[in-house]
Amino acid sequence: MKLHRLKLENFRGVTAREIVFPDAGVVVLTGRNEIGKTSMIDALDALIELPDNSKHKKITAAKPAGRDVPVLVEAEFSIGTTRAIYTKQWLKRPSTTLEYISGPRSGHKLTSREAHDAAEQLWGGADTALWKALRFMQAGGLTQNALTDSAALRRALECHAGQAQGDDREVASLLERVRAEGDKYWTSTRKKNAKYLQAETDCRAAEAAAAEAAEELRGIAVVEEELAELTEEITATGRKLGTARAEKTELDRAAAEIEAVQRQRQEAQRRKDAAQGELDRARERTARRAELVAALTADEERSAALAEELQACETELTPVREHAAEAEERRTAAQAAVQEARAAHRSAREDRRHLDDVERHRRVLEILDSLEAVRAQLAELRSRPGTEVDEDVLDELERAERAAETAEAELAAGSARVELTALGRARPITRGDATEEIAPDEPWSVPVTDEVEVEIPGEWRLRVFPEQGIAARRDAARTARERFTALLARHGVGSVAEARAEWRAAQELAQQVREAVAQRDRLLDGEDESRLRDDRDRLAAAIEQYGDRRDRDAPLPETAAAAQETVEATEAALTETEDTALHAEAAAQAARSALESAQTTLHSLQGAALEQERALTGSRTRLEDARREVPDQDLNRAATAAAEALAAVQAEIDGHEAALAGLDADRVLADQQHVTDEIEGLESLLGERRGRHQSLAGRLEGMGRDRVQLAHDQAETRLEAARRHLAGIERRAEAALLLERTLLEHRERAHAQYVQPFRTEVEHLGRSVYGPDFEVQVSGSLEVEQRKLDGDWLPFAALSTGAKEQLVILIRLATALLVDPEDGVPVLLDDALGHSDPQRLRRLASAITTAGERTQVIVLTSNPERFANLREAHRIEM
Amino acid sequence: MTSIRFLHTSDWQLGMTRHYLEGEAQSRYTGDRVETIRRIGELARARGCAFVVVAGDVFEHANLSRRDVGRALDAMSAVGLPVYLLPGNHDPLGPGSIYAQDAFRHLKPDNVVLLDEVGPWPVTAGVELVAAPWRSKRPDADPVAPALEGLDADGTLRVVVGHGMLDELDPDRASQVTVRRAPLDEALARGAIHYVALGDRHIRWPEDDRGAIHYSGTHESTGFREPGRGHVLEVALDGGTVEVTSHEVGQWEHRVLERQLDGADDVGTLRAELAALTPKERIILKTVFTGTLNLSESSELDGLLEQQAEVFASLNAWERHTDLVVVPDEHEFEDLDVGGYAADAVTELRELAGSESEDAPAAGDALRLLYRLVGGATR
Repeated sequence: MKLHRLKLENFRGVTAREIVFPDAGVVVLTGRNEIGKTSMIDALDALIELPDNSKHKKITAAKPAGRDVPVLVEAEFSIGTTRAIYTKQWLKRPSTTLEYISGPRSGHKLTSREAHDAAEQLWGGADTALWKALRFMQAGGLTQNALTDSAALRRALECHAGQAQGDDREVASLLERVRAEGDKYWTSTRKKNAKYLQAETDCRAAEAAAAEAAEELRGIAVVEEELAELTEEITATGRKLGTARAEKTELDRAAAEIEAVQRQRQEAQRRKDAAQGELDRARERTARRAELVAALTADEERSAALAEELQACETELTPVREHAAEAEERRTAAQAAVQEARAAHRSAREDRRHLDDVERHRRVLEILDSLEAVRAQLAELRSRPGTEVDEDVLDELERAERAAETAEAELAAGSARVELTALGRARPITRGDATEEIAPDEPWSVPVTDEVEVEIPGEWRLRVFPEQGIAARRDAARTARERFTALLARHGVGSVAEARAEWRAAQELAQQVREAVAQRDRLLDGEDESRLRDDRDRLAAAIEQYGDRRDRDAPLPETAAAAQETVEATEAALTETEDTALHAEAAAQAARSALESAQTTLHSLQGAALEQERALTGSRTRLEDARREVPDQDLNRAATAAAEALAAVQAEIDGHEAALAGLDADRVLADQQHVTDEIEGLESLLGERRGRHQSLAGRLEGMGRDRVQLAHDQAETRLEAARRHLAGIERRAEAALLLERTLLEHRERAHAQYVQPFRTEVEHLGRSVYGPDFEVQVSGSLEVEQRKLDGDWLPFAALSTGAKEQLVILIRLATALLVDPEDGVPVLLDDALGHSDPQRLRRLASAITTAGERTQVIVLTSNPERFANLREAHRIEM
Repeated sequence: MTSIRFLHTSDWQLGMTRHYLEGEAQSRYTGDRVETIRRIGELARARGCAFVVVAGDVFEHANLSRRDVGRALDAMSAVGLPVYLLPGNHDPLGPGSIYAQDAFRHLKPDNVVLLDEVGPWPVTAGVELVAAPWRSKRPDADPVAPALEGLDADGTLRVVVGHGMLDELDPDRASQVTVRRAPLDEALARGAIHYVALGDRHIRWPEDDRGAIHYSGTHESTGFREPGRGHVLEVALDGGTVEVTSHEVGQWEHRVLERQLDGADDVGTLRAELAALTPKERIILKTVFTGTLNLSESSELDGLLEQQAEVFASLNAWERHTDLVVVPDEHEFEDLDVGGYAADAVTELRELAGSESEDAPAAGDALRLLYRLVGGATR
């Protein structure tokens, strides 16, 4: 493939650009960064890959922002013998044109989709794998592109390796198709994919569904089996029932015969029961007659006994009645004595209370008098004049006096002193108006608190002036004194001593008042005075009233104590009489009870005697009536006749029993019962089985047999289909897998054979750059694994960025040199070799030039100096 | 002596499902099997038959829907002659029997008679059917012999109607339910019975239509072991002779196609054979191919089968018996664009496909796939 011309309009930053490439050699396209070098390659890719109606990001992003213009790319290229111009316009008025310039279809021009498809087919004739692999794009990173997919390279390598050249242009795409086939059934790691697994799952599900349907169908069969068994059982039971019923008919006949005899026997028995009844009644009547006789005898005896008892009772009653009268008298007397003692006691208590009142009245009067005296004393004390000197005032006076004295002492002590001593004899001195004699050796001194003027008469006048600071001390002393004097005046006393005397007198007066108050409180003793006065008046009234009321005949006791003694004596007497009365009461009560009891007994006996008399009369009458009706001898005759009749019936019964024994009645009846029971049991069993049969039949009916069968049939059909489907998938999947595996194994082997010529070419080119000891190690997939330089092997990954870059470019150039020029595609180097030193650059330029002799090499760079030594290169400035 | 003419058929097994029939084929199969009853009726009337007797297995099972039973009885009604149905092992009497169900009892037309009691059933004056119905699913003795008890050679023409495998045909000789031939021969010999209409065997027997003991075979093919289409037997009795004529009434055919394919000619022949088969929509085909084909032949075969599968009622390979080796010719891939390592891969796979390895079929498949992917199949 050769690129002749490329034209862009409105593609990314490029508004319009057209570049014409020479047919061979190296082309260096230079332009500053961001001018759109890489965009040209992208535009070419878009032209080939995207139809004109594409809204792919590559197109929408390529359109200049804010301008409603079409994106256009046009390329002129040759593939094989065909040369064509391919133009595409996207977004606005999209269009595609393919114009054949030379080759078999020269002069043809296609448009629209037809043009796109034809171009795609044409492009398919180029080695697209190689076209992608021979690019070095800065943005693509320093990787080694997959070279093994290039049919052209492989052909070249096979040719170099001396192998027969095969037409394997399509092998790579064949492997892709095999992979695609494999991908239908396997995942990328060649595990069963979702479709395969789904088929397996479906098959398993179909198997499960079929098994389930079969199970349900079997359920119906089971019910049918059960029904069949039950039907047989019902038939067997029916047969047994028939046999039992026949046996029962025979037994019923024998039983009827037995029943006739039994009926006769029962009749005889009934008569026997009647005869027995008659006999019982006759015996009953005889017994009742004997009872009547015995009853009369007993009544007669009881009447006699009662009469005796009544007489004894009346005899015993007299003393009891007398004793009761006496007891009643004693009780009355005791009651009268109690009344009397109670009156004496009450009178004694009233006397004592009266004397208590008199005493209390006297005491109240005394207390009231004393209270009056205390009240007079308090009035007198409180009328005395008072003083305002109290403890605080006294204290304040004493402190003021002390302060004045202190201030004056300080005045004297702080001042200079004038001391005069008479030498040898006494001498007079005059101070002010006074003159005094100073004894010898007894110094006279005076503080200089003020101006001191001393005159030794006739001789000297000594005037001493106080020092400057005395005025302050003097003022202090004066102020203290004045304050003290003012205080005395305020409290109306002359001195502190006078004040103290006044305070003591006031203290004493207060003490006397307190004592008087205490005296009054003692007299009241917690009482209220007004109440005392009320007591006095109430007591006086009570005393007077009692005097009026009391019986004047009886003497009033002398004292309260005497009155108390009388009270106690009368109380003792009262207690004693009350005891006596209680005893008398109890005795009277007892006597009354005894009397009542005796009287009751008597009345009871009298009643019983009367009753007994009536009973006796009755008994006698009944016996007489009975004998009149049936005489005693008739009764005896009837009893004998009944006993004879009974014996006759019993003989008849014995005859029937013997007959029944002869008929084997017990066995017949027992058998009859057994057969009846058996029939009942069999009927019940048959009923139960028929019920079960009906229920099972109903169940079978309700099992939806046709639905179950249909489901079963459908499930089986589905299973068959699922198995076939899975088998098909398994077979196709295994085939795809085997084919892919075999192809890959052979590709690996084939690649191993390509390695040597590829390595030779890379090393040949590399030695022109690095020197004669450059070697490489190449993998089966045509990747350089290690590089040897200066005797050292280094893995590709461990190389420096510059060395890596140089190596991947060398690999591309070597590849370009290897492939047939007919198959060749342009080598694209975009912004390459930025990391190489000038010497390496020079040598690489030589390698690029070498490659350019065989194929198109397009170098895109923003740094033309880097490729300055590509002297024969065609340079295009953008 | 009296004479009689009737149709002997059996094993209709109405309601049968064939799981290899997908989609509408199954419905057609089911529908046609009922429809054939009408044709049996037409034949019976055309041949002047007095009645039609079905010797067991009228229904496939007792789980038919009311609709299916109704359709079957409707077809029987259309026969227009008495149709005697004998319960067989698929449709025995007893609890749950299809004949005890409301659908059958309510919908049964008057001309249909269920032979549900063992022994003679008068048909016309001097003619009796001697029925040996299956009274349960698992009888414990010869299901036919008891019906013969008490039959005298009294001039009555008797047709025994039974179901079960004759001892001489039953591979399981120890089976309790085998129909013993001796009592039948004995009764025939003494003139107590005159024809034995049997069912159970789906293939007509004997093939030469001679003798008085016959299996009519099923009216419509039910499996691959039944060659050809279904038949009924027209039977004419006059007391002295038995005249049996078979008539093909079935429309469906199960066919196993066993072919040795060793080249394009064989594939071509097969193509012609398939083209000749009609009516394809009622032929159920199972192929058993052996031989060796190259890729293009195999591809042609695949295409042929794929295309024919759409027109036959069913077309499947009988995998168990298929032994078709696919090996590419030496130069087969050379004509295609398969070079380089792919060519080596072809060589390896070809060797594997031709080997005895268990991977040989997969290798053949892989080659066919490769052949298809490189465009070989389309050339």
